[in-house]
Amino acid sequence: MGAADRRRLRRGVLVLAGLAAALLAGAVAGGADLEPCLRQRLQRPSALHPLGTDDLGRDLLPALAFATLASAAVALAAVALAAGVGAGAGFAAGWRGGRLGAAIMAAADFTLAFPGILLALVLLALLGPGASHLVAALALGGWAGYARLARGEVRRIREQDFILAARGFGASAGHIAREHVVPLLLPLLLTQAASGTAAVILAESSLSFLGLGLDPRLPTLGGMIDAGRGHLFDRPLLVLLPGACLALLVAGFLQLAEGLPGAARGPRAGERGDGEGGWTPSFPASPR
Amino acid sequence: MIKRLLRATARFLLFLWAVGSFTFVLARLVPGDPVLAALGPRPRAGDIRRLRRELGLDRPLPLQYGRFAARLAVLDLGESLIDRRPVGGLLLRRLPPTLLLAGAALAITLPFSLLLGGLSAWGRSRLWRILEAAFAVFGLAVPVFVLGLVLILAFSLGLGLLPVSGSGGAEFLVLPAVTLSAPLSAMLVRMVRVTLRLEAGRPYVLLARAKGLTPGQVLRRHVLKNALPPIVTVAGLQAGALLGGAIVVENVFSWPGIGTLLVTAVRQRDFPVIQGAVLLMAAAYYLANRLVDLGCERLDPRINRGRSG
Repeated sequence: MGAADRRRLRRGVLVLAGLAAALLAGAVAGGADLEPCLRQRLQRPSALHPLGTDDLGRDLLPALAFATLASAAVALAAVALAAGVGAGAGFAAGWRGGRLGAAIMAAADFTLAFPGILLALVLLALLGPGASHLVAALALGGWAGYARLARGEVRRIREQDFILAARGFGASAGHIAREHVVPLLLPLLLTQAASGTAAVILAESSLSFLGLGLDPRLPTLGGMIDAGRGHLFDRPLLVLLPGACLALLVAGFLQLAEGLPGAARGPRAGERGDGEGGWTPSFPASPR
Repeated sequence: MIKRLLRATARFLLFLWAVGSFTFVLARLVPGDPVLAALGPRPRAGDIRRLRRELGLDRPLPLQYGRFAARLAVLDLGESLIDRRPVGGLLLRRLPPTLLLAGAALAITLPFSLLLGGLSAWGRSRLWRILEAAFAVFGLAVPVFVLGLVLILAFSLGLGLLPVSGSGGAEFLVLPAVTLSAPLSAMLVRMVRVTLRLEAGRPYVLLARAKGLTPGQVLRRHVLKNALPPIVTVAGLQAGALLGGAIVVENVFSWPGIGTLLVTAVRQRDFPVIQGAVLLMAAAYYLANRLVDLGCERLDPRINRGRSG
């Protein structure tokens, strides 16, 4: 892991930790609750409500803290589910192959044939809002990517010489899978999960924005932005603040993903030209 | 050639059948009754029975599925539960605005990301590289609906230059198209930069420079020709993903396309319309991807024909 990767990793952790600390500190210091109070709706920032109140009279700061936390929690749960199921299925498909593998990959291809949030949208339309429904819907759209990654890697690793050697020493298939394949697979999955979390946060907030996320009575970033649309002219903070939280949350996970080890295998390896990652142009590029 | 075309068509029809069956199964398996959902709270027993009979939901499942498949085969998608209009007609009316929006977004994305990515890779100023890096992060991190609302705030409410939402002349298209293009541009800018830097390090660039060509000439005559195919491929593959983004963007700007139709249908629990919209979007996405595959074969003669037909 080079210096640039470490810097990205640190930046990602810093952004996420800073966001969490600021929101939690504010929420705790304010001591305010999330109860709607229609008599104090749409107030400007004051000593009592440091960021003002939203259109239901909720103090904006604790609402933001809760919503950001909820977004992250839902996304992490969905990614854990999707990565677990997807990697398991992909592992099975890559290890065993055959009809089972073909069936799993056909299902993955089918899932990937729906653009963006379409699949999650349809499932939520049928299931109705709720945390578990949301997690299931997001995972349904996301598992296929992990399955593809796991299958490809397992097939690649399986063909390598040290696996052959292990087999020659009499290692069982289970031992090879546990001791040789999984440790190589995990970092890649972790990296994909970090960038996947960013994507899932975006999907979740889009669904909340469309009114299909968590229980609508709970504050969500997407839901707050949707509610703030009507007051865009007089109280733009109602859109800008949750929007900023959302962007920081996603940017944090994106940076995290770029800094994690597996990411160095992409085309970025040659891009930086700082001598790591294998493929670097060996002579200086002309214009500079 | 004809054989390839036939096989591709068969695969497409198989895909449509799979998507249709999937929505059918989903609607029957998932807890939650489309009839109860459509009728709203506290429906009368008579209404439930009547709607069930009209939709054929009182018959056994295999029969229901047979009827569904037979109607799908002649592209009869049923009618809306809300206003009883045929779904096919609804979709046909809503398709052109969505295609227009996606096309406009793509038309913005390509030149913009080539320009910014190119300046970042070949420009002398550090400013371009900083701009590119910032755009590559924030274009991906800021959700389209937030970006859309910020643009409305700046250009419609603040400067009064462009309309807030709706559709009509070209001025209505600007903000939604820019919004929809942002995530794709962010990805593509990075891709352009990486590809150009990679090509800049190849031996032929050194040779061309040694021949006495200026950097600009090398870029135009040699580097772009080699760098474009992978960039166009990624742009094409992601073009289909614009459809997914359009669901949200159309909603922000009240753009009368498939996305708005779908979200309205979801809110009203209008299952036949949801089914039709899903089928149409999946089909469009599928076709877009296949067309890109074909285009790539044309652009890059090294790609093996036999494999992807």
